[in-house]
Amino acid sequence: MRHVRAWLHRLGGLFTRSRRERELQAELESHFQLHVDDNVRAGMTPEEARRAAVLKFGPVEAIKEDIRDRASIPLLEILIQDVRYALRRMRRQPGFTALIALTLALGVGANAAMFGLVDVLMFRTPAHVPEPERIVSVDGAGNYVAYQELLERVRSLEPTAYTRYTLSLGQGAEAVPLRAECVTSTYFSVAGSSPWRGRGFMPEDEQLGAPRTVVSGNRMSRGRSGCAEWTHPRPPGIEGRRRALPADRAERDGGAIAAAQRAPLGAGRGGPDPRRRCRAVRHERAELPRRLRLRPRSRHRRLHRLPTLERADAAGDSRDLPDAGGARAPGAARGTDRAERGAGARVRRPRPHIRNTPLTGRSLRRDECAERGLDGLFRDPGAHDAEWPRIYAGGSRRRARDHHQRRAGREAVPW
Amino acid sequence: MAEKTDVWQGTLALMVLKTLEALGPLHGYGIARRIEQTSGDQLVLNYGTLYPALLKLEQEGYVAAEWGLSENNRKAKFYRLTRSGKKRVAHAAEEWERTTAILARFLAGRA
Repeated sequence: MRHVRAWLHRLGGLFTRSRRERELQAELESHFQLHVDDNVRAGMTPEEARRAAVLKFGPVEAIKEDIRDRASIPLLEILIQDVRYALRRMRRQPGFTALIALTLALGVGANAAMFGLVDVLMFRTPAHVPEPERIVSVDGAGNYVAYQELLERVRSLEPTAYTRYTLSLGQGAEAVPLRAECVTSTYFSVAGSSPWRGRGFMPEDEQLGAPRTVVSGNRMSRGRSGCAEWTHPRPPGIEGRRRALPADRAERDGGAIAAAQRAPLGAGRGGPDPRRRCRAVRHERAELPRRLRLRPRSRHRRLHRLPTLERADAAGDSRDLPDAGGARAPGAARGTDRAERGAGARVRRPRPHIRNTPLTGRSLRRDECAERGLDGLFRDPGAHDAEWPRIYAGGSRRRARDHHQRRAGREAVPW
Repeated sequence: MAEKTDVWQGTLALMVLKTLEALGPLHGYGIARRIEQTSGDQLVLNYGTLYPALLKLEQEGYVAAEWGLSENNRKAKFYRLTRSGKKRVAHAAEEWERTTAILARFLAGRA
């Protein structure tokens, strides 16, 4: 308490410098007067008396300095003096001052603008995605069966799957390439957005044999194809789609295909308006979704390509394959014998990796995975269990890969 | 003849307070003289060192100062004990006595 009081006094002392100085001078003078008076009374000459008083007092200037330091806060006092000096100088040279101020202002402004731009373009998740930190991606779970299993078993997450490709819009000389995405029906709800007009995808659209459904982008529907509605009974003028997809593959997997015309995120003509980003063309045939995204509530924009999950769940395959005894299903493990799978043998099944968006640096923890049932889903009963870490925490791709290689005994990683 | 002693660290404040308690309001010079006399001229005291100590006591609220006239009509700044100063004297004196008593016991034990 008394320290606080003393410091308050000293703080107050900052503003009473000249008064303090006068008072100190007066007090010391009075001290010498009294002392000299006494000495004279004791029989000294005035000269001797003064000399004796000064001697007895000690080093006058040092003591004054000590008192001054104690009466205020010297550091602050000096600072105030410097600032006042600077202001005086600035007032005397207004032109120079203006020049300096302008230089600083330009420098700071330019820097702020650049960093603002970089921040929005490179570090932020797109503005229309709600709660981007809750998005994780499961890469390498490479087929529709796995997706369906995920959908069934993981209740705490909303998964969506998509795959990208390019198709052509228009015919002959007028054909233009179109970047599209084949998605599952949860695509837009994971993205946290909905089409501007019409409806998004329904679960029914995912059924085998359901009519094609297309959600087209703003640019596409307005400018290029004359497709006026967001939901269209038939993708207008999309050619070569069937050729692009191996027939057996599509047959086997069922479900929906959507193609999306993608625009650059963040800085596109459309701005951050979510409606302008929902660009998808939907098709009755299913592409094998290469990636699954688990969704607490929303999605993020960056994915990492990771090893393909190749699984041979014999029962699942034959259920989905109309021609079970016939051609090879590309979704099944590549390079694996049909006979082997038919025997129900579990073939190579690399670990999928659950990663969170590197933009927020968070990933699902092991216990969270267990909670969501992911552990069971992805655990490999085989030998790779220890060597293939399922979870990476944040960090760069490179670091993840290094980590991976260490764990896997310096084997190259296939991505 | 006994050697003169320097004022120990931290004891000057107590001496000042005690002097003020005994004599009432007093100026710096008077306090210095009084301390010297009370010590039986055994202490070496630069009068100047008193003023920083007085300032500190004033900031801590144990003494208050105002200008007045000395007995021989000189203007001087008089210091007087405040209420918290009085409490402080009692407390510090007690503490000091305890310390010296403990030390005395040690010295007696060694002898």
